[in-house]
Amino acid sequence: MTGFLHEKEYSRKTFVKGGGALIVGFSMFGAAGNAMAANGNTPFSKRTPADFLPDQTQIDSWITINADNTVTVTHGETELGHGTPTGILMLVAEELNVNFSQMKFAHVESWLQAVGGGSGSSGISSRSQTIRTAAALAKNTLVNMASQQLGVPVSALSVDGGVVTGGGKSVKYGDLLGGKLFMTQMTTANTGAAAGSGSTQFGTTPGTPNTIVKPVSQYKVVGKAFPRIDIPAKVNGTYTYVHNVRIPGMLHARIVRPRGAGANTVENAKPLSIDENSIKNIPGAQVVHVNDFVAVVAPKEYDAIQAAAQLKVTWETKQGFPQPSGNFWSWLRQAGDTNTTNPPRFTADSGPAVEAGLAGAAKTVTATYKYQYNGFMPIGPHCAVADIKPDGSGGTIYVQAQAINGIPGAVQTTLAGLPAPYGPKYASTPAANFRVIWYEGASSFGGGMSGEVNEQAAVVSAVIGKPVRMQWMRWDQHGWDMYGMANMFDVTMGADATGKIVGANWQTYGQVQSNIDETRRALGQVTWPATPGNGGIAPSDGGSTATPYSNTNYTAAYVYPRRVNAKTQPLYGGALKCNFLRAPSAPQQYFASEQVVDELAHALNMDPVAFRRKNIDPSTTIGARWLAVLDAATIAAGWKPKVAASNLGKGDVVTGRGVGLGTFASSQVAIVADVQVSKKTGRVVAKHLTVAQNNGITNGPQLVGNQMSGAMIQGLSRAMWEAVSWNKERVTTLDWVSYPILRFKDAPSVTLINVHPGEYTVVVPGALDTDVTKGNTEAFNEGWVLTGSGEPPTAAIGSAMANAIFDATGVRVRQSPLTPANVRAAFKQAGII
Amino acid sequence: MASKLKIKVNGLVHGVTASLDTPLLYVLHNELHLHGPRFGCGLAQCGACSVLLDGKEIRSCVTPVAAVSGKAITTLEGLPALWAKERGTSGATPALHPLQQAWIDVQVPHCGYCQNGMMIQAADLLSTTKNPTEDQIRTAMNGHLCRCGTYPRILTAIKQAAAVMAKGGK
Repeated sequence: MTGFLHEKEYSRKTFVKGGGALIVGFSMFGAAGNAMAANGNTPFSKRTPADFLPDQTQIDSWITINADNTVTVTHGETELGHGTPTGILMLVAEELNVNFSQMKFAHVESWLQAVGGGSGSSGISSRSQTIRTAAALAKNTLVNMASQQLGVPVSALSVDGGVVTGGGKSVKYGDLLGGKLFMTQMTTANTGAAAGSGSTQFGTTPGTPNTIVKPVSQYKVVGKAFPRIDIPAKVNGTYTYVHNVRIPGMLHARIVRPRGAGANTVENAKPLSIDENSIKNIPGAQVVHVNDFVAVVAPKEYDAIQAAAQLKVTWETKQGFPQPSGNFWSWLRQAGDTNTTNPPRFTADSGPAVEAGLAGAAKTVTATYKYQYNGFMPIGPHCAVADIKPDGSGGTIYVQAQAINGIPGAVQTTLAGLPAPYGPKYASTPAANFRVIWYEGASSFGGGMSGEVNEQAAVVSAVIGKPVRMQWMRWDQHGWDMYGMANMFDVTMGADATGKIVGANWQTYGQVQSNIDETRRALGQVTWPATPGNGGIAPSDGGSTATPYSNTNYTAAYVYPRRVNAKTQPLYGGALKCNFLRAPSAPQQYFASEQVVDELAHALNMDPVAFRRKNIDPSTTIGARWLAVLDAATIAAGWKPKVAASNLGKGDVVTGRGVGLGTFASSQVAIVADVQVSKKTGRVVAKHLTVAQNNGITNGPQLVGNQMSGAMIQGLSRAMWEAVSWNKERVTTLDWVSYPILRFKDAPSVTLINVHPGEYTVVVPGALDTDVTKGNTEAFNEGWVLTGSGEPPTAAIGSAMANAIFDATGVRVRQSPLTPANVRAAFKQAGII
Repeated sequence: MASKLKIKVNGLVHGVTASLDTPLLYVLHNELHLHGPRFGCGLAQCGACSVLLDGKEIRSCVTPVAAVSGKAITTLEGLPALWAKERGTSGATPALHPLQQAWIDVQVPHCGYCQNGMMIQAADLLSTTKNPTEDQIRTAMNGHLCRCGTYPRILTAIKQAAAVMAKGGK
């Protein structure tokens, strides 16, 4: 024990004192090459690299029964504010028949966890399937032990609160295991399904029935409201973010680079000269310089900040962007039309049915929609602390991340790639020797570059031979992170006289996810490929996970013949580094697809909700799910059928309402937006938003409610305010003034509705009497499987807002962000001002 | 050059060593090991670093430590004691300020990183405006940014806390 902050937390949270504490052993039953993980009782100092990537078929890799009759879960899912650890404790409490108050979630680190996290939306819907099986098998194992110890047959025993009772006798889980591990492997023979194969009971992975987990109809925990386990410490100031981690002897580091990244392959971050004398006056300040990688360290944080600002570096400057951001859309069209490296490709094509459909249409709409580059933009810039051992044996890295399992390897690779004398020391260090300890960062909604700050901290620590805290400044975060893609959509869509969509022809422009490990590039370890990969956005009508209108995809809402021709801008020259930002691609796609159906409804003099209903097939499971959210949102909002913009208000400030659908992670959302618009200023305020979300089975209604609200409001911010700008050299949106996000004065009130078959539950934040257990059973019976809850409203909000602006003013704003400037420009063009 | 300074934080006087122009935030975090005020922008744009200086919200990321000499700083960690003092009751300090309790009751935080500044600013508001209108709350809070979209829950929590505080915490 060195007195490190994190070790104090570990000893308090996970080391169980007193008689009967479990002794750690290693299972002989593990699959070859996989050790069994350290369990929740293993003291911090006793865990080893062999505990990394444990055998997931062993109960002990997931669940520990403590002597005090509490349960420690070593699942390893990270808390990102989504409440996933709380949700996992609910799932385990359910299967084990223990109370939620008996549950503990082990702090996530690479030598104590089963899964190590992953992408945000699937923490409950897919990555928590195996632990349900583990918990159910654990309960069976414990009940069998109780039967033997009490001399009562299993059939006469029941469990409540972790106490097995029957025949007038009882015994606690904590007393049953006394000093032993489960040593029990999940197999098809004892669970009805192979470990990890999921369960039809919970409905996410259709297949072999899992015979030991509880039927949904017997749930007592799942479907009820439990407060999040992380919130009290976040409120009283005791929570430790990665930014708060301190270790003895730690120096403060800052990365040094020009303010704002350049275009792909032309980062504009090559130091031509560095004048180390320029920081000589700063106590203890030191430069770390490897190829294009430049950082400074100092014992005092403010000194490191000043050193980074003061260090004289001459940077090579190139004009990597063919056009500044102001000319982006016209450039994008020209670049996509003339791109021979990535020729246009069809991502969906229903063939001649498209032309036949459009030819017979009673009305067609042709329009172009544009959705801007958005940033990840966490409130706290990325941070990591690294303590790399100069002897090459390994080290410890304190990180923020959604998933930690790839980090040890990334750090080892980066360090091994350093020039001598540093790199060779780490060339053969096993990746697992780089112990990764997770702490929450700020506002994690996707990939971004949080992994690179880990590498930067590790590199600086390895070079100077001391522990280092690397903290990005605001301009690093705004100017050097990756972004969510910008896309443009040309569409012609037609409908017959009854309002049935008969065909659509899409032409799309934009880039695919494209990025490089910029830190390793600066270190001279990786380069951009000579030829960019193929790609092109496949909006709305086919392609990725968010494909609402495909008639073959699970998430289809409307069914009609369509063609999508995707044109890609050159990824080299003109493109920004892009990565998966919350609901990747979906806000872009739905900004187009849910506006064009609204325009078509208007052209046909139809109510926009009635038009959508007409095009959803209620006889399918997916159609039923879509209709359920549309009904829930419109009923709750008191939707009165009318043709949009058919009752325009007089004067400057007018109001309107619009509807938008969207899907992500296979969950469906409908949003009704009530807006207020100033025609003079172009300022649009969302006064009230009603969102209905169908995620099949709901584990934690409070957790889902907060996600619905947050995803919708973040999506509102993106659609209303956010756009990345650049000049010919580099990104110029470097702070919250140049890249504004939604503020309090523009924040809506919200109504949150969680949807089950025939049951709409209004979720009031914090209301602990929220109970959707009945709806969950109905959902299961209807085949509504559990789907992701972290993102869907982000997809629907932009079009709901644009549709509401049209209803208020009769003017379409087809370009995000819906800022006063863009809205006023549309008003001027339409001649209403 | 580093100087020896005394600063009063959450009712206690601390000796610290820092150059006079060091922003208060780094002293609170690195010398006093407080986790409440957080680095967000260093530009006084977001409010993650907010603390109370003699009861008024300031941005500790741009406030030189020398400027707080002789004044009382309250951080998120000090809100319960501040509430006990405002309420004028004797006895043990409550575990939480009514705002903090409301933040838990409404399940306000997502990642929670910005919530320090939200509670600090709300404490400033409620110390002078006992029963704020929604417009007053929005105006007071408008300089604080949340990336996770928790604004509606913050509005609810401030109203709940205001009601509790108006009744003296009962």
